[in-house]
Amino acid sequence: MAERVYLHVGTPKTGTSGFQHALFTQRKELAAAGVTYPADRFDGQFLAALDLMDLPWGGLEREASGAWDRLTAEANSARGRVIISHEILGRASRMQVDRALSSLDGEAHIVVTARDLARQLPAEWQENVKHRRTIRYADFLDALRDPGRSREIAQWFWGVQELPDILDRWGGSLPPERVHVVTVPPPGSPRTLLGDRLAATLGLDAAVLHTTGDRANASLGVAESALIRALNERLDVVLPNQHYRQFVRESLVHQNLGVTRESARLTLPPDVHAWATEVSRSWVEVLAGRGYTVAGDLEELVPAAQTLPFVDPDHPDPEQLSQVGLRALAASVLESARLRDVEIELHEVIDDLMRQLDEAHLTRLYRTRERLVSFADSNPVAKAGLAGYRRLRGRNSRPT
Amino acid sequence: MLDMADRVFVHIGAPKSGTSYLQDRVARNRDAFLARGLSYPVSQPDGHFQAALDLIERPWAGELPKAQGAWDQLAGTVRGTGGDVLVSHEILAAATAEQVARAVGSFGEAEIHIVLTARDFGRQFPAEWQESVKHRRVISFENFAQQALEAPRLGSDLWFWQVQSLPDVLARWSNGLLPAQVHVVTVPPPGAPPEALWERFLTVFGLEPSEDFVPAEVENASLGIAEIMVLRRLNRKLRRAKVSRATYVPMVRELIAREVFAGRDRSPSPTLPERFRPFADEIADEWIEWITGAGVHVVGDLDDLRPEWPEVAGPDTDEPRAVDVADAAIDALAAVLIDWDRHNTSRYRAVVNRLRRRSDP
Amino acid sequence: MTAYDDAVAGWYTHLHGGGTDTWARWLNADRSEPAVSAPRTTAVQLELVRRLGELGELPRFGALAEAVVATPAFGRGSLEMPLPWPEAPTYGPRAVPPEDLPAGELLRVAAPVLARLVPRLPEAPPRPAPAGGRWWRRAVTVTGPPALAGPLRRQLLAAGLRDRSRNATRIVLAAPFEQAMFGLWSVRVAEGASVRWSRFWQIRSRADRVPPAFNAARLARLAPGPHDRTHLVIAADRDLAARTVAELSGVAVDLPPSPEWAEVDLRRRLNRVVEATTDPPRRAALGARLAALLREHPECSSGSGGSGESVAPPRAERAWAVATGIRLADDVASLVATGGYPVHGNPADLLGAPDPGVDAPVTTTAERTLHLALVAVRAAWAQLEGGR
Repeated sequence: MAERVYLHVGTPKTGTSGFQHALFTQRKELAAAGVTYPADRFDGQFLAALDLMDLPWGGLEREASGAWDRLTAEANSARGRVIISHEILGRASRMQVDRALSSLDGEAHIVVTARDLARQLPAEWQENVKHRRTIRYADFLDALRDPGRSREIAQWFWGVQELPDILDRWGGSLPPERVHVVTVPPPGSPRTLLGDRLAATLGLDAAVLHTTGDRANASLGVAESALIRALNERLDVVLPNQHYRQFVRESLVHQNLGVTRESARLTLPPDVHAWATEVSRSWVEVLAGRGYTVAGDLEELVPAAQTLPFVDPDHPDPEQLSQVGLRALAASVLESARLRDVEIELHEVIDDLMRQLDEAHLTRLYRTRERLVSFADSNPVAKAGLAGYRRLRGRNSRPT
Repeated sequence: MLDMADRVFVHIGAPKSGTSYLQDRVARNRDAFLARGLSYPVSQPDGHFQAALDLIERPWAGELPKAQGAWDQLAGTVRGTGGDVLVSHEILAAATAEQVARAVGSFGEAEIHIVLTARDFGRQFPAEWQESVKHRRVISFENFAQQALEAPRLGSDLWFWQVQSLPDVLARWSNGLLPAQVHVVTVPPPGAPPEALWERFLTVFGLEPSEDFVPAEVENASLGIAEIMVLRRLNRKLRRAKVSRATYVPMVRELIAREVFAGRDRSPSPTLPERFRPFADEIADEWIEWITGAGVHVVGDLDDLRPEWPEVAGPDTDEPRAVDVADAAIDALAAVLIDWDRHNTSRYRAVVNRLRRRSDP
Repeated sequence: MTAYDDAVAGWYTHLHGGGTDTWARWLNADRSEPAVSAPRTTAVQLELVRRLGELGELPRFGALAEAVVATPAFGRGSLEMPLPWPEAPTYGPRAVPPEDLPAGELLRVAAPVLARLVPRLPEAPPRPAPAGGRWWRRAVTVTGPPALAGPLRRQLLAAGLRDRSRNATRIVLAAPFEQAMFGLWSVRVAEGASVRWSRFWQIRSRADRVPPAFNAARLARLAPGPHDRTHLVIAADRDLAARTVAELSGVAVDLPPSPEWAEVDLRRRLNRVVEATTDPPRRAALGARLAALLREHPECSSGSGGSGESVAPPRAERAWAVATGIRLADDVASLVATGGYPVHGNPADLLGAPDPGVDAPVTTTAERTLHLALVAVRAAWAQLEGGR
C-alpha cells in the first residue's frame, strides 16, 4: 500500500500538461526513487479521470472504460508515494470524490495549482477557440459572469476553476494541512518557480518538473484568436474533428501562428478585470480561513493591475487580421501542395508494387482460372455453365 | 470522303470579351450549327487552346512543349471538313505577322474570315489586370495601367497591347484579306443580356437566332478589389516559397479564384483610376476612327467601344477595405482546408479502390 | 453536520418514505429526526426521487430512492446544485429550487438509473412474421425512407418473397421530408446512435445533404424495368401506405406506429450513457426493451400511427427543411406528370399538413422525455419488483 497519494486535481491552464508530460516520460526514474506515476499510456490518467466522472469526450470514453479501477489497482500496489494528476478532476461531484478517495489506500493529499483569474479567463477562451468553438469573447465573458450559470460553457469553466468549491468537494473530508494550494507566480518571475513549488509539494527533485516550455499551450495573439474563431464559423460541421485537429491545431496554430512580437496579448476589458479581482479577493479570504498548506502566496491569486491596454478580439484590427489570414492562407496552400506530392509518390509506389504482384501472380492456378473464364467467353456451352453456376451461387446466398 | 472547307472563320479574340461564353455556347450547340453548315471541331475541354499556343509560340509557364504539333493537327482537320468551319481562341490575337501568315496559309483554298469580338476599353483594362493576377502576378492596378499607357501600342512588348490593341491585332490578322472578310463584333454595354452578344456573333456567319440554340451559363468571373488584393499578396508569398504550377493552378486559380471568389459581390469591382480616363477615351476614339476608316464589317454599335465611366467615383482599386480583405482571406482559408479534407478522403478511397480491384480475381 | 446537512437528510427521509413535499414546503413544516443516513447527494437526485414518488405508490420505493441518490449525474452539465438555504456561500453553483430544475438536468440522472434497470428486464419478444406470400415466388423490391422501407422489406423477406429479380414489382415510397427525417433519426437511434435531434439536422443541412433514399423521384427513375412495374406510393399516411404495399405484394404487412419524439430522445439518452461500454447491437437490444416497456404502459400511447408523427425540425433548420421538402415534392410531381408510373396516393400530401390547428407539429422538449423517463423507471421497477 502506498504511503501517500497525491491527487493533483486542477486547475487547467496552469502548466499541468507540461508537468504530466514530465512525470510520464520520467516515470521509470521516479519509480526507482520511490514515486509512482501510474500510467500505461501518456493519456492513461486522463482516461481514468473520464472513467471516474462518466464524461463523454468525443468517443475517447470508450477506451476509458475501467480505467479508474486499473489506476487505483496500480496505485494501491505501489510503495512510497503515488502521484495522480489531471486538471479535469476538479469538476468531480461529491459522489465521485467519495468513490475516488475510498478507492485509494494510503494517506490522501489534494494538490491544486492555481493562477489568478485575469490570466485564466483569456486562456480558457482561447482554449475553447482552439477546440472549434465560435463563441465571441464578449459572450464568453458574459456567460461566465451570469450568476445563474445557465450556459454549459460557464458550468464547465467554474467546475474546473472555482477554487473554493473544488477544494470543498475534494478536501472537505480531509484535515486542511493535507490540502495544498500551489500558486502560479506573477509574470516576470523565474520560469522554473512554479515547477519548484510543485515539486517541493510532491516531494520531488525540482529538476524533474523543469519543463521546456508548454508546447501544447502555445498562446495566440488577439488577431490570431480572432482568425481561428472566424475560421471555425466557416468550417462549422463540415470538417471532421480529426482533420481539424491535424490541420488547424497542429499545422496552423502550432507551426504557423505562434505569438509574434507584433501580435497583441489577450487581456480583459477593464470592467471584467475589476469583477475578476473582486471574485479573486473573496476566494482568497475563504481559502485563507481554511488553513490549507500554501506553496507560494495566496495573494498571487489576486490579479495584478492591468498594464497592457485591452485589445478586443471580437473587433480585431482589420489590417492585422488580414495579415494573419494571409499568412495562414499561404501556409495552408503550401501544406496542401505538400500532401498532394505525397499522394503522387504513393501512387508511384503502388504502381511499383502492382508490377511486382503481376510477376508473382503468374502461378498455374491463377492462369488456369483466367483461361477458364476467357474460354467461357468464346464457348456458348461453357458460358451457359458458368451462368448457371453463378445463378446457383446467387440463390444460395440469399437470406431466407 | 474528304471534303474541303468553304470558309474558315478564325475568332482571334479579344481576351476578356466574352470569348469563353461564346465558345462554350457554340460547343453545346454543335449539332444545330452543323445543321446550318458550320462546324466547330473541338476535341478537348480547353477548346483550341493547344493549337493556338502552338501557333503563337509563347512559353506559357511550360505548357508550350505539350502543344507541339497541335496547330497542324487542327489545320488538317479544318481543311478536311466541308462547309464553314470555326476556329476560336482568344490568344490568337497575339500572333505575329509571320505566325498569321502561317495560320492563314494552313487552311488551303478556303476563304478566310477574321472575327474579333471587342469590348469597351474601360472594362478590358481591369479584366486583363485581373487575369494577370490570376496568372501569378503581384502588380498593382495603378502600376499595371501606368505601364500599359506609357508603352507604345503598336508592335508592343507588352502582352496587354499585343492582344487588346484593336488596330494592331486587326492589322496583323487582316493582311491579305478584303475588308469584308474582317468582322468586328462589339460587345453590348454592361447590363445587356448575353443574348445580345450571341445574336451579333451569329450575324457574322449569316445565321439567325433560333430556339434550337440552347443557352449557356454565363460564368461570372469578375473578382472584387478585396479578392484581387488577397490573390496578389498570396502570389507574393507563394512566389517566395517557389510553388509549382501544378499546385498553383488547382489551388489558387481554380479553387480560390474561381470557386470561392468569382462573383462574390462583397467588394466593389476594379475601375480605372480617374487620371487615366481621358487617355482611355482618347484611345477609344482612335480605334473607332481606325475601324471606320478601314471599312471592315462591323456588327453592333461602334459606340459600344466607348468606355462608360461611373458617375460617382468608386474606391481606389488598390485600396480595398482591410475588413473585406480579411474576410476574403478567411473564406479562402476555409475553402482550402475543406478541399484538402474532401480530397484526402477521396484520394484515400482512390488508393484503396486500386488495391481492391487488384485483389479481386 | 451543519443545519443544512440536517435539513437535507430530513428531506431525504421524507422522500424515501414516499413523501412528495417540495423542498420549500418541507422546510416550513415540522421536521423529525433523520432516520435514514443521507449520502452526499444534491438537489437533482432528491428532486428526481420526489417526482418518481409523485406519480404514485411503488413496491419498495425506498430501495429505488436509494438507487437514485447513489447515481451520479451523467456527462456534462451543471455541477451539483445545492438546495436553497438562507446562508448560502459566496462561491459555487447557485441554488435552484429543486422543482424548478430543468428537465435536462433531471434526465442526467434518470438516464443512468434506467441504464441500470433496463438490462435486467426480459428481452423484447420478436414480432411474428406476417402471413401471406403466394405460392409462386414473387419478387417485390421496396425502396424509400428507411423508417418505412426497412420494416416493410423485412416483413416481405420473412414471408418468403424474393428481393431482387428482373421482373420484380418495385415499390418506391415517398414521404414528406420532415417525417422521413424523423423516421431516419428514430432508425439510427434504434440502431444505437446517440446523436441529438438538432445535431442530426445540422449535419445534413450544413452540407446540404439529403439522404438518397428520400429522393423518390430519383429512385423511381433509377429502377430498372418498365415504368409500369414501378409503383410510386405516397406514404404520408402510414396505414394507407402499408395497405397499398400489402395489396401489391399479397403479404399482410403493416407498419408499426411511429414512436413519439420523446421516446426516441429517451432511447438516445440511454444510448449515450452506455455508449462507452456496449456495442451497437447491445444498445439496440436495450432500446428495444425500453420501447417494449413503454408500449405496455397506457401513459404512453405512441403518436397517431395513422397519420404519422409530424415532428418539427429545429428552428435553425426550418428554412432548409421547407426548401428541401418542396424540392423533393416538386421532383415527384414532375415524375408523375411524365406519366407511366402507377401512383398510389396524392403527391400533394408530400407537402405536409397545411392546417396548423389539426396537425400541428409536435414540439420537441425535454419535459416530455423526462415524463417518459419517470414512467419507464417506475414501470421497470414495478416489473422487477413484481417478479420477486
